[in-house]
Amino acid sequence: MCHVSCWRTTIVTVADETALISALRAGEDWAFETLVRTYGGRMLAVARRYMRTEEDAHDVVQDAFLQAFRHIHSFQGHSRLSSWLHRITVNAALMKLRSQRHDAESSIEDLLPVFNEEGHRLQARPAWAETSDELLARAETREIVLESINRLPDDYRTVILLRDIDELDTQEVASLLGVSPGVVKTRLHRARQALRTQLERHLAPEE
Amino acid sequence: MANCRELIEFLDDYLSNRLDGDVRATFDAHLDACPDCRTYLQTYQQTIHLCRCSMHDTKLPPLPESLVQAILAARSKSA
Repeated sequence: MCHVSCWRTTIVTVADETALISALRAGEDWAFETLVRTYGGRMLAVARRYMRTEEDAHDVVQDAFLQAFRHIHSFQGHSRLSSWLHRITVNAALMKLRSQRHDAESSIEDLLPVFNEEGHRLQARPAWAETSDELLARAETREIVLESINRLPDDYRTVILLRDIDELDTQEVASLLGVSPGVVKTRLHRARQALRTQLERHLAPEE
Repeated sequence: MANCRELIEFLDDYLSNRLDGDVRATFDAHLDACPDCRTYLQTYQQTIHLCRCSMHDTKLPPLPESLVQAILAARSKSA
């Protein structure tokens, strides 16, 4: 069974949030500390998903908070504070990833399915031995999934995180990554296929 | 009838119900006849589900006190 502990779950009431925002806008020191202590853990969890080291995740959280402090006056209140901070954290993580990109990314071609000239599959593979719920009941499955996601090149890993984990829509992801919605769709599909192949190596029964 | 490559190429659209009725019918016919593609479809859906559950199924970490202090100090500096 999947129990999604959603980021947007509120632990702060709307009244608390309104008072906090007013105090932040007034520059009250206690409000900034409250914001950091209340939302920091959630922002760190998001940053850890995107970044490959703890140090980078910390940098992202700090950058995100400084952005939030700077722009608290422009927070319109159309969404919860937690959603706004989530978006800022994702943006900060993407900027950090962009700044770290030096080398050409590795290919995922060998993780995609192969077909013959008639378009029929060349390698038939068995179904996985257990259902998703059975797999999720074992702690090692989570480790396998996280490691497999982390092995994907950043372009593919990022689109899976944005679409399948953070559940942003295609248009939003396209805008964040500066690519067309078509590129997002193609990249997501290829990323899922590559991830499926990596998981299959662990989860399919031995032949 | 569609072939395996065409089905895989449009798998996301198929799963998201974004295909026209006629096109969808050709993919349905292919899936009826092709156990390999049925398995692929099933494991593709399992991949998305496992990915989502594994990533969300974590306790929220506490923010290290040193990071809290660093953030507040950086705010004071930039104010």
